[in-house]
Amino acid sequence: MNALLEVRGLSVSHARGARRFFAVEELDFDLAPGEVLAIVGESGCGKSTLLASIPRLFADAQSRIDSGSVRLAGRELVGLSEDELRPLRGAAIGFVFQDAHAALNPVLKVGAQVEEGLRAGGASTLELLAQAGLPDPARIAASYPHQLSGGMRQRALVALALAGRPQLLLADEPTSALDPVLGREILELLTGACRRQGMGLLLVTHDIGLALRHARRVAVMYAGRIVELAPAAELGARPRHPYTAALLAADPARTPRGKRFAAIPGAAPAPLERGAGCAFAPRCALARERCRIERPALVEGSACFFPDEVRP
Amino acid sequence: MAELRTVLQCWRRRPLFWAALALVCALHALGAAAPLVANDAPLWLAAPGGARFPALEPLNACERFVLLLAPWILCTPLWAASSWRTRIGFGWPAFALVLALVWQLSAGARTFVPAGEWKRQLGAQSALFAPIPFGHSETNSSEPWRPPTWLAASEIDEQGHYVERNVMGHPGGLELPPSPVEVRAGEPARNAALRHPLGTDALGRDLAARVVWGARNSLAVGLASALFALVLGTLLGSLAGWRGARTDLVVSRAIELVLCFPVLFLVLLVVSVGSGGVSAVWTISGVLGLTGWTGVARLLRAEFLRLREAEFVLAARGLGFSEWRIVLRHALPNALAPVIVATSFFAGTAMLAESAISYLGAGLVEPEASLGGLVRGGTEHAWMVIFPGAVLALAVIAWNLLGEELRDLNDPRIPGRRA
Repeated sequence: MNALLEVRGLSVSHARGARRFFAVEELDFDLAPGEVLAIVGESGCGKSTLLASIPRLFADAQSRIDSGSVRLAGRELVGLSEDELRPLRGAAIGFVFQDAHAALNPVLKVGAQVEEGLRAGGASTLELLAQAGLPDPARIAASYPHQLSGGMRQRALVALALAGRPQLLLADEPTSALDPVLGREILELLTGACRRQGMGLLLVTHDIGLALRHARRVAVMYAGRIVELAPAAELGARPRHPYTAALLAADPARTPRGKRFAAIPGAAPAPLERGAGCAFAPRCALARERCRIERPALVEGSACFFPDEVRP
Repeated sequence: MAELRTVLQCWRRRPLFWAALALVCALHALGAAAPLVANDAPLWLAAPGGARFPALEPLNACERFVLLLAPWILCTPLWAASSWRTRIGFGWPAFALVLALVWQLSAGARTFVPAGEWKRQLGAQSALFAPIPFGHSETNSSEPWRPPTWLAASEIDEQGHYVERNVMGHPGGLELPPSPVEVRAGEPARNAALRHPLGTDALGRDLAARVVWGARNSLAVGLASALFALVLGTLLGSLAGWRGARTDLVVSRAIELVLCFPVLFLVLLVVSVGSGGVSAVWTISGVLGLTGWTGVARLLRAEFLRLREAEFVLAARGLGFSEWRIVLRHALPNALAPVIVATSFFAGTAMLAESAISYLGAGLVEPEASLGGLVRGGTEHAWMVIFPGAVLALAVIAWNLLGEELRDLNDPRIPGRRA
């Protein structure tokens, strides 16, 4: 299989004052054309940083990639200059932001914004808006973002991301600002576009149920690392990392009616407080002495020393 | 017809904005067309060697360009509301520029004729005069301090005596030695209501003509210094806000430094030191602009500091747009609304500052007129204060109103935008 995106040993750090800390450490994964890979984790686990590091779209100019390699269709992205990277953004790598209200320019009409990102030979603005499931695209194109509803704005944002006909689409919690029904529609729109155009989709979400429904494979991140990476069906049925099992147990949709869903005791360690051992050990029921001293590597899709002891 | 409906619809959506724009444009058009509105030289003259246009002969290239722009300025509320706004908005000035250059090249040497000389030399030739047939520096020693001629108190008999003697407009109740009023060619009759509708000053110069030319200079100072401040403030403010770090530090300190200058004294100093051949209008505009850019710069800096972090800027970067494009098309339009308001207010403020300077006697040099200088010319006579003062107030109010309305227009959250 020829991977569209190959990420090897990727480490990204942010700066806080004079100190630097790793938001993402030694990530490895692949993405095939047309594949949907979901990245699941709680807030602060580094999933958005991972996404931003691929086209190097950091919100903070101090953030940087410290080591590792990111290859898009065989081309190394780490080490490219800003001028070399710019033509790839939009055209090769599309980005769907979380908050469509903030990600659309308030003083430009939607049509003008989509048109700005168009590439020659692609669909027209109106076609793109129609593809994004917007009724009456001509009227939408002539509207300002504030005149649209939240769902319409998110669809417009999808049209904007697809305007450059990218090979790789990065979606950062594209549905967390929407209600579940709308969210599902947007995700079906995204996954459908990927299937049709052979575009890879990297979907970041904190909702494991949503990831299992829409992605072919799911990567679970915890404290800056991937702790489990497996096909969605397998991961949902037989988790091989205690954190995944805990996440599944905490999913309201999988909890029987009338039962309280399980919470994970404790909190994820802050980036500067991560110790030498497994970052999940303090919250883990299976943790032993070895877990606190030695960090488990991602082997056969699980970064746990005792994957067979995990109970769903 | 359809176009007319578009325009009317546009006006109806934001009547106050279009009214303010029309007022500002009308005043500026009046200033730009001053040589055709108030002039002692005839507009057209049937000379022996063919027709002549004496009013246009002393104009330089810049003044000719401005004159050609006058109808464009006057019609702004019309074309800006129509669907040809881009074509006319840029097309007319470009056309006027070419026309002014051709005119400049084809015209002979500029001729300077002393004020009032054309009228004295006119003889039996037929001529067409401006609506106000007086020059701004044309004196008439036979009628100093004449009150507005539509007042009964302004009536003068054949010997040059006021008919109602005790209400005379000169200081201390003194009567000037009687001398018959000199009525020159092209001027209204001695006691015509429209001879001097706004009265005259100490040298018998027509106040209406001087208000027109004074407004031309004062409005030019307001507009030029506002544009100067806008350009300088936009450049420096956006640079500081976008680049941040050391650039921001330098610009912010520069702003604080400039804010410490006492502007009025600085202008007085520069004007009194002199500026070589440059007209005082440009010197004053330059100084006001150089000290006035800080307001615009501070607004833009703050806006750009905010916009730099905005998600739609990040999104624009994610679409692969260049830095220039992001700044010009995505950041700047989002930062402009407060800047436009500040600039409009600044135009009004600059006009007031120029008036203050001229009132102190340090602005434009006589016989050049400015609204503030006219007030200084005769504080003891009501008409010398009321008329220039009213025009000044009108202009400042118009600018401020336009600023307010422009802000609403640029705010997408206020309904009825893009009128």
